[in-house]
Amino acid sequence: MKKLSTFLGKHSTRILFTLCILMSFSTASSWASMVSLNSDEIQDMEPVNQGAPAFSFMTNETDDGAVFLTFWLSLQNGYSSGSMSTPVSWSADWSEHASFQQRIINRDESSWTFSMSIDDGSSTYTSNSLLLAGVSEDEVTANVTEGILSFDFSTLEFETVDLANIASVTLKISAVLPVNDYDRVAEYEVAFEVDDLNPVPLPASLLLFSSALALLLLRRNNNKTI
Amino acid sequence: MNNKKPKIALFKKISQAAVLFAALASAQFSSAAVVSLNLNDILGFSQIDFSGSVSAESAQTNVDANGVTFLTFWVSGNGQVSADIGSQGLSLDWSAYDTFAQSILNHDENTWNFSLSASDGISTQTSSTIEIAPDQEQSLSVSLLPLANLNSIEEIYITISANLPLPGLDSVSEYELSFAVNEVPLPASSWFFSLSIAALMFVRSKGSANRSK
Repeated sequence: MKKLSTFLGKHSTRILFTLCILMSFSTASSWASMVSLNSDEIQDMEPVNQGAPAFSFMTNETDDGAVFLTFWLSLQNGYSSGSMSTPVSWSADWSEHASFQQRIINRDESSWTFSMSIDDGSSTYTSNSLLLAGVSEDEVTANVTEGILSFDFSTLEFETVDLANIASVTLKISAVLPVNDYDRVAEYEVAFEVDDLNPVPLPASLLLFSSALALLLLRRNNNKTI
Repeated sequence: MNNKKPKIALFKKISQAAVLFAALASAQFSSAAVVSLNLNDILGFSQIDFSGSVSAESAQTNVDANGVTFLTFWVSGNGQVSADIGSQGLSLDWSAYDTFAQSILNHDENTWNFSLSASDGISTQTSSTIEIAPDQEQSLSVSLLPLANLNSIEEIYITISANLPLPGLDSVSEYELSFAVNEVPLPASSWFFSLSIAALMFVRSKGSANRSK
């Protein structure tokens, strides 16, 4: 015990420095473990079964994604859905990642429901559903008119998923038509950027903690020198 | 001589009532001179033209008791764009009308511009372009009188336009063409005119009554 305390006292600076480095690495690692479709992948998304019964188009490209339109014609009533998917040629290895997140922004004046699914070639896994409220012009409100669709690969549900061979990612939009007695047209944005909606507080707190440690060490060293 | 005075007064009263009746009747006639499209007319609408950096696409997305809802969109459209939605190759006899009016309800989350046009094949009459805010309904009206062949209207359409993209990167418009026309100013002015005439007659009859006393 005495030896341990002597060792700690002698090497406290090195131990603290090593701890800081380890924490930095773990933070960087947890930051990188989340995956999203990037802007190119979003802009390459294609409508699934175009026209049967939904029609989908990309109407605008953004810096980090794209704006899409999905509509149903006047005879389509009741629960209806339309989907956009990554192209057949697309595939991804997500074995290094712990979760998937994608930001969805409702750009329409009516409420619409969104969900995502991933397919590893043998099974399909579907995310949580998001009911996003309608907007007026471009007044986007976090967790009201925009939200995050996500998969947590560390849960039991994803134990058998082949993350090294993800074959497709599909975004589904649905509603009971007509919405608000008239609406069969949905406008929405799929975005790559997710950090402003889902902040991870660890990096900021870690920086604060590290700088405090560094100051303490500096002060201690100064005291020793004196 | 004395018997003639009541007869003249009675004649004046009858003639005043006749003038008032004629004014009211003309107000009703003015109201009837406005023509609007019915459900079947609007269901026949499709996109007939467009302008701008990219082509426009239009579709009918809803039909209800109020009208027909349309969608018009531009894929990656930029700058000033427009699309005409209507019917061509018609042969409508609108010789009994002097005004074509239609209500438009903007169902979109952004403000869009609309105008209304009618053509007899020789010339086209177009209403002023109005901005309709989200969830707002306005009536567009165009005078048909300058058209030479009112008995053979060949083309009717609405034009939707904007400077794209609108807020929220919006290149998609949703709007409803309604059957009912809410605002046609002519009947209101006719009522006002009729009331003015009635008031004038009342003052005049009072004045002549005072003079006879």
